[in-house]
Amino acid sequence: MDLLKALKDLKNEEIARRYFVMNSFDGALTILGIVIAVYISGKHESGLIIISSLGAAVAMAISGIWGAYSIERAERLRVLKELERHLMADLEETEIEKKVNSTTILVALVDGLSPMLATLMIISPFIASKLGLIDAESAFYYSVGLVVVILFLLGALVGHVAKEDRVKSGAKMVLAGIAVAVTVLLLDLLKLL
Amino acid sequence: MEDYKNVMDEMTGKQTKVPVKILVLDVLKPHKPNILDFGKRICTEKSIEAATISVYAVDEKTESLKIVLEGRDIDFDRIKDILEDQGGVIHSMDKVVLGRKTLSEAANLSELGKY
Repeated sequence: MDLLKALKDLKNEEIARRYFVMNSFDGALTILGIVIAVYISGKHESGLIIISSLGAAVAMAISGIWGAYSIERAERLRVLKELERHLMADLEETEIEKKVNSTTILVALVDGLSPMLATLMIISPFIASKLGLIDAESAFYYSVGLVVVILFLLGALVGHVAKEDRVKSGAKMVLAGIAVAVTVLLLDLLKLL
Repeated sequence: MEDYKNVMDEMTGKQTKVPVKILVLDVLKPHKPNILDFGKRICTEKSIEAATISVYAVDEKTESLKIVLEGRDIDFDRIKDILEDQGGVIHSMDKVVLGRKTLSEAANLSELGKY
């Protein structure tokens, strides 16, 4: 199947791995900032957090897909044209050109959908709260817990790629999350002063 | 029947089909796909029974190959399409073995041994 082959090729695409980690990280920290900010503002409403987070996630998804598609297509076409010059042959309609097109689309989707995936995971406790399964207070703590897990797993993936200690890499990523939380809390304290 | 067919072909100016047993091509291709995947793709063509591929030159973006193809009746047009589909460019056809005579095993090995 062409799609299976394209996905298999994507696994070997370094750039797809980078986009996945970078954008999942961006998405997780952005939503963490929203969750903490809404919570400390005193408005413990799951609906407000869900809509704010989804709004941010949609913006990140569209920006990611659009931006990544444009630049990836430009870069890959440049490489293809250079190859055509070396071969002195037209590579239009060949498997090489088809692979360039399919990989460009898949890489752009990875770029755009990674933050969306992280967002959906982080706001799932608030969705559960909206459905009446848990209270908003618990949803906040579960959500922060999920952020910690996601950041740790992303860090572990980075450690795996670099063949370094995965636990250490995971812990470093979690530190970034702590930095976001502390910064938002400080901003709130400054407002009170 | 065979004689009648040959006479008819002569009269109509049509060449009798001569099976191609061995074909040696000089091909330039990009680094990807590698020669393993490149060769597997060539061998999907049913007229090919065996393929030997050697890389004899490499530069920044491309590599030059010697491809020895064996079969009972190699379909060159199909091979050309497959090579071009993978970004390959045929620089030259260096050797061809044709005919209805069954090649001896010794003859086959001597052709392959040069590459």
